[in-house]
Amino acid sequence: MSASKKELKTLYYYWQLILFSLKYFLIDISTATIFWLSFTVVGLILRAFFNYLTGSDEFGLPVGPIVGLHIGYVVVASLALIGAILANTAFRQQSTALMIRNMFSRILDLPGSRPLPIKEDGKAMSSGEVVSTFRDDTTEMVWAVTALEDTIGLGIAAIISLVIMLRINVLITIGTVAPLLLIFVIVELLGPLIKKYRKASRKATSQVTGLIADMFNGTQTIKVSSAENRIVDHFRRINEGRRKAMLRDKVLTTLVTALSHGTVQIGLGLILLLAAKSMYAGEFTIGDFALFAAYIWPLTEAMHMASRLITLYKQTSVSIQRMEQMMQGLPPGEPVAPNPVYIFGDLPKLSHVPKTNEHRLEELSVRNLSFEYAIENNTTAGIYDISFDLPRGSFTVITGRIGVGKTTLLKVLLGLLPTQSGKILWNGELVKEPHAFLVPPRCAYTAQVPRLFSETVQDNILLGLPHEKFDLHTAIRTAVLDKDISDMEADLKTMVGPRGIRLSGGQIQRTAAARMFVRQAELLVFDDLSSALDVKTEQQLWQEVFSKRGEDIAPTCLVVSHRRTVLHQADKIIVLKDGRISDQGTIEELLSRSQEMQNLYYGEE
Amino acid sequence: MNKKTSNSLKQYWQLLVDYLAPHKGQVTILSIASIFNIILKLVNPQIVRYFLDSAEQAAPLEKLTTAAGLFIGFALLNQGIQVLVIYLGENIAWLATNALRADLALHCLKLDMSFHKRYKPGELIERLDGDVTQLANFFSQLVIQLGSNLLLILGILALLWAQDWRIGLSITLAMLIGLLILDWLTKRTIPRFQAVREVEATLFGFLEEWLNGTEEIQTSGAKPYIMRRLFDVMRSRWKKTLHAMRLHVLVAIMPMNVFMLAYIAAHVLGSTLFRSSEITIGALYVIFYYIDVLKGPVWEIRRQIEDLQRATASINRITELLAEQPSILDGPGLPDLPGPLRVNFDRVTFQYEDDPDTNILHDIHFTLQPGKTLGLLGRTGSGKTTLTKLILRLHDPANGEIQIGTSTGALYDLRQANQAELRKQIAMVTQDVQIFQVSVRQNLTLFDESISDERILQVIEQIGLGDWFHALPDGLDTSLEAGGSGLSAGESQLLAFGRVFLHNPGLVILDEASSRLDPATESRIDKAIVELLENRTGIIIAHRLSTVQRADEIMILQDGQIAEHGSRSDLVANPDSLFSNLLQTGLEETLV
Repeated sequence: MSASKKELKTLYYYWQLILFSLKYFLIDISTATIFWLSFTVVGLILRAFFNYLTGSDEFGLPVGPIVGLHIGYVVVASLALIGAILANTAFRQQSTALMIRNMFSRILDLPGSRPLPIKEDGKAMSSGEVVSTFRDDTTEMVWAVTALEDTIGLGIAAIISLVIMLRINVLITIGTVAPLLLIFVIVELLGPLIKKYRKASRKATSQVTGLIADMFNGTQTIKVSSAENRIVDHFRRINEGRRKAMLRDKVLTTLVTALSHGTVQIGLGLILLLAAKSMYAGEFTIGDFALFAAYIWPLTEAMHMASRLITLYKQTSVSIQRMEQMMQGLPPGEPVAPNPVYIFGDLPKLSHVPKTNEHRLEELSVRNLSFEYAIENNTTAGIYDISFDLPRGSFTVITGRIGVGKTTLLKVLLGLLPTQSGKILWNGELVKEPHAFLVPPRCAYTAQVPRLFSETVQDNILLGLPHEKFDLHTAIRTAVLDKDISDMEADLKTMVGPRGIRLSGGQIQRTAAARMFVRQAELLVFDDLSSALDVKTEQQLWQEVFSKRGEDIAPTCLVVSHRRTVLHQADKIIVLKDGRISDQGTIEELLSRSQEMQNLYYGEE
Repeated sequence: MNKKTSNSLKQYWQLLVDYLAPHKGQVTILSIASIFNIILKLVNPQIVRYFLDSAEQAAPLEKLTTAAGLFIGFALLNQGIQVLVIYLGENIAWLATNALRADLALHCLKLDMSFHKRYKPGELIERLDGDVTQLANFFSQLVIQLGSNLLLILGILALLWAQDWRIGLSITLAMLIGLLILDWLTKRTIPRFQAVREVEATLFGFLEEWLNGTEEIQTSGAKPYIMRRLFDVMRSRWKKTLHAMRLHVLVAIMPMNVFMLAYIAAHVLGSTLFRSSEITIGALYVIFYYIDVLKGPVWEIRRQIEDLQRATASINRITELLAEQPSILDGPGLPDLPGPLRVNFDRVTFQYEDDPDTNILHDIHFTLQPGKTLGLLGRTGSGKTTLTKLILRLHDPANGEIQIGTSTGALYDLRQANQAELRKQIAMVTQDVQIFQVSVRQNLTLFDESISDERILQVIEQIGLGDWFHALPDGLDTSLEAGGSGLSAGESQLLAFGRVFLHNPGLVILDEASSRLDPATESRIDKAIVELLENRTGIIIAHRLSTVQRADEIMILQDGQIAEHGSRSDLVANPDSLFSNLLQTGLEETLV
């Protein structure tokens, strides 16, 4: 992207964020300006004080009014500062809420198995790295915008101060201010380098966060293998890398800061140098000197803030890039698109789409469905040219060896992976967006490795469904979970812990099944449900599912399994081999003619 | 000073001493440089006084110019040293916080599983990264900067007193009032900021958890629900932040108001003293100048106190974390136990600590014969996995004892064991495989650098991942994705087997390990499993007959109790045994 386009984009982001919380931005800017103007007032007060005492002809005031003015400006400035801080806080909270909302919402709209962006090295981002963006990039973005408020406020005060100085003595003013401007320019030139170092340090931070996420998601594995010390040694190495990157970043930023801060003293020294002659000649009073000395700080601070503003502005292009990466495919600017965030008012009502005849399934057809993915460079794997039909009420089983593509097939069908080629037809009509269409009440799914969340059992099953409108108890019974729940101390309200760690593997699987059942979907898709269940429990579950077979309300089922009981119950079995359909038919047909089916059924020789 | 404050101070001090000690050299240079800078700051204003008085007395121009030149020179030196100070400070901060971060990680990893049930990974990320980073400033800057700022203030006050005791007194009083009010306010803001950090940890824990659950959200149609939950959390964040800010604004306006008192004293007293010729105009000006110089450190102190507020909240959270102790303690250690292990359960009962009324295991009493394989069966939730967790000492029994020993030697109480040593002797493969975002080599060896590459390659072939491996671009150095999305569920399982094959355990536990493998693939690695179980004790938890066919003994658990236990051949031969019955119910296939 050309440099100017990048500039426009950054400005666009600033603009959008300002518009979104305009009220707070305006309050912040106006109160900030009032606050900073107090410094201009101080200079004038000092000048009047010294002029009076030294008996100069210039304007002076006795001590009484001086003290009164002083108290006055402090009261006004205090009130202004309070206003500025509070408005600033509101602005920052609402702005970060907006960006987090937009990025999160987008991720949830993407195919569920590949929602996170791919990095430069071709790998998907981890959740830890994404959280890093959500946390740090939004903060940086907002810092950059809110820096505007102070900079403009102080800028106005600085300009007024400058005018006052020029009216007193042009030469000294220019002689003092010009070198300060020079420093400002030098800082500008360091821009690209700052950006480069900042990018590197953010990357190093992501790596650290990524490993921390790994360590605590995989604690049991680590403990069981006694790998605690070893993984922490690796962690130390990564931390060290981050230290180096951070130092480089910091040193540069510090040099810039030192240059800026040093200017106050240097400025004062320059005044001394230039004013020597004029003071000697009586043209420049001590009152004037006091004013000039008092104004150095706001002037340099204004320049410092301006250069910081520019640096932040440049750095935000890194944050913007990372946020847009999160949006994957949407037009630029989406992270700051205005959307309600509800943090100041009431939460939105949760509405729910009831199931109607419109959702009824007569037949699902898949035609030439293909999906290929690269496994490291030259090799690819995937599913190719898959076609089959699922008539209403049928029970179809997909089977095959591991890695052959069964799960991939289900995921592509449901839009968890994006379709690459082929068609899906629902009641004869093309499904354009499986991930939005093939969801409850049309379609529900249980993964092979289901996830639970650190909520109650009830919430894990309902996930937002209104419990008055949905039959929780039937779903639990069908999933053979009822006894387990009544055994739990808090019944349905039992908290399951992060990733459902307080439940056994079988309980997790059945809770996920209940989650699927409660949605009363037309099509149920099960990916190898039985791997965590013992045969008896599994049989009970299938019994419940089969019990309604033949009735019109019975759901259509698509199941991945290699259980013999399930294979025998199937209306049709689809055998996958090397990503393609090797054969389709009933178990008897397949056992008589398919070598692959025989291998799978009896185990390999 | 009440006990709570002195405890907090003790905590800060201890943390400071522990983590800064290794960097004494840099800390010393940092301190010296800071002190030197303070002296410069005290001396420079005197040059201005000299200048102004000389100008008033019409001294020769060269004197004025020299003074100005000297002033600029000192100012430049000041800045140069400042850069050094900040650089060293930052370096020390990272060295110290990196050490703390790693120590915390190790500490948490060593805590037991009951701890890890309570804390989500996202929350631990916030603590290890967010909270520890907050401390960076604390380590590097707080003590040195705070110290040097305090010294600067004392130096200036001393000079002001020297000028005139009334001015010195009034300005000192102004400062003291300010500091007292600041202290009072600060104490009240700390808990509010701690609440803010907590709600931020909740927000990012929430995001991290649901970012990993996008499949579930999509296929359950739960997006509106999750978005609403997000809004709810962000709302709490706003409320807590506002609550903290309401008090914080008072801290922000304090310095301005305090200085107003100082300036008023300077105006009133200063003009009186000048009028009565007790001080020169230069000296009067320099009083204002010093008050101005005071602003710097006071502003700094205010900022440092803000950082301290945040750091205190973080220190509290970290100290809480460090205070968590594992309830599973290492014993004195067991002697070397070569060969297949023998395990004995002596009337073992177990409940989870948060649910002491539910017996997960009740009166478990049996011996696991060395070199034999036990098939462990039972409904889901009957306690099978828990039993194996007890052998690994992931939990300790509530009642009874578990003993371990060699095939012929003595039996030792498991509580005497050192956990790390014990787990080196036992290997477990579960259904739930964790793939790390590191290289293939590191994933297989779990960072054990003593395992040679040849051995790793041998095992890769042994477990049937040869084809998959040869397709990788960087071989063993290829890095695997987070969540293992480059591997199918079955391939992940094979990798988990690979990890075990690289050990040499005396006891092997397979918990539903083959359940994700189709029968064809399972028979492929069957040979390897047979090799693995040879001359080793084994426990297999599975549902498949074919897997359990390998077992020498069978044990059936029901509701946490042993319903049946005996040799497989005996149980099969007896038509009334539970095992025989189970074999019947499963139709042709496999059942338990």
